[in-house]
Amino acid sequence: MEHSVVDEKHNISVYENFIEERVDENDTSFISDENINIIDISNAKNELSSSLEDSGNFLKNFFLGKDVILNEKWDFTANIQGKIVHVNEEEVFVDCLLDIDKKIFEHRTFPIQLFTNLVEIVVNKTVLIKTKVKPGTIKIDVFPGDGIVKLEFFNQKNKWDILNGSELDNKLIKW
Amino acid sequence: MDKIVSVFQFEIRYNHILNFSQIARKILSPYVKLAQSIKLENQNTINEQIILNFENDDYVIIVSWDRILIKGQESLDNYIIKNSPIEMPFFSILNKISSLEEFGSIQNILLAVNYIKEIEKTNLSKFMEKTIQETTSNVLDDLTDIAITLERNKKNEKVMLSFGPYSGPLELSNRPLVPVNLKTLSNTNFSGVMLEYKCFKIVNKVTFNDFINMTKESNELFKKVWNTL
Repeated sequence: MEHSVVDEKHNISVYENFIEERVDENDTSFISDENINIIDISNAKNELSSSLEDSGNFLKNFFLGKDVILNEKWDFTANIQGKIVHVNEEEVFVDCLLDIDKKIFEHRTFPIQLFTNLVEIVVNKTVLIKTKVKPGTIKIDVFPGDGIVKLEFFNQKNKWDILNGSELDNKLIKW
Repeated sequence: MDKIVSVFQFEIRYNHILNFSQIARKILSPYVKLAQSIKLENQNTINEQIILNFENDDYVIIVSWDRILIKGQESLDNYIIKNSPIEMPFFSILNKISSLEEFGSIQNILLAVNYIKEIEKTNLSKFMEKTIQETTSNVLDDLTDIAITLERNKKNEKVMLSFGPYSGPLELSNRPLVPVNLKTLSNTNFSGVMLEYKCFKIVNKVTFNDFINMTKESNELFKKVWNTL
């Protein structure tokens, strides 16, 4: 019972904050690190025992162990949506969506070893291909595309539908 | 030495989603596999925030009941190419949120960028010589720091520029917007100039091209300021 009373008080205070935020709709300030308090869910024990951490720990803890790759700087990173269109024993063939707006695709082939982290390597499976490039080096990570990659992007059948009735498929019997 | 973006933050604010904490995890779960770690703030409360940390790429994405933001560093060039982290996963997540029945509309956007660039043999007095009149700089004895702020207010848009001398990485940690990871930034141990750009726009629609255009403007303004020094 005591617990529910505490919860109720908390909810009221949250609601008050909400009202204040609504008033300030044109707030030009950004969320600064000073205002961020974090609950670390990476460790179940911490989650149960600790309350909100201070913002200083937010950044410190985020990058623990980062020093070992200090020199690894990449010129650019691209996260490309793709759909597997063919698989053989050695390679996976993927339609890669390079430009969503212009609907530009590129057919790319990758060694199958890159895909062995997927539950199954089958045709029509979507993937997200992360490519990082710097002079002399390219790094490729493949992630399952479930929930991220939109399969409808790869269904461009509607492009051909506009040609229906245009008689382009008529036999050339008269010249 | 080229300019360094010590940090940038791009925010898209929308109407508060009252049941955000109940639906957010389902929306964001597919993206967790791309991140190196996640954190939650205000867990199970009305203003829960989910933080996706892409530490290998030095950026974070924070999603909450009223906004989504991405914060990165080093250079903006990496973020304005096709399929950059802005397009995927940032805008991909936004599109998922905006397709929710509970979603109202986008309210405004904000881009903040902090630049630093080395100027050889520069110091406070040399900066003042080039930027303000002597009578002004003499107002306060033993001056230790200075910044010049320029603002432009238009209908539905506000731009703020603030620049001053830069004396080393300690300054980066003392700004309201601190780098994502100071350790992985290029060498910041030099003297030069620091510029903070902030652009706020009231909009109800935002695309990847809007981000590109705002970054272009910020880069151009930095260049203009640089040419005056």
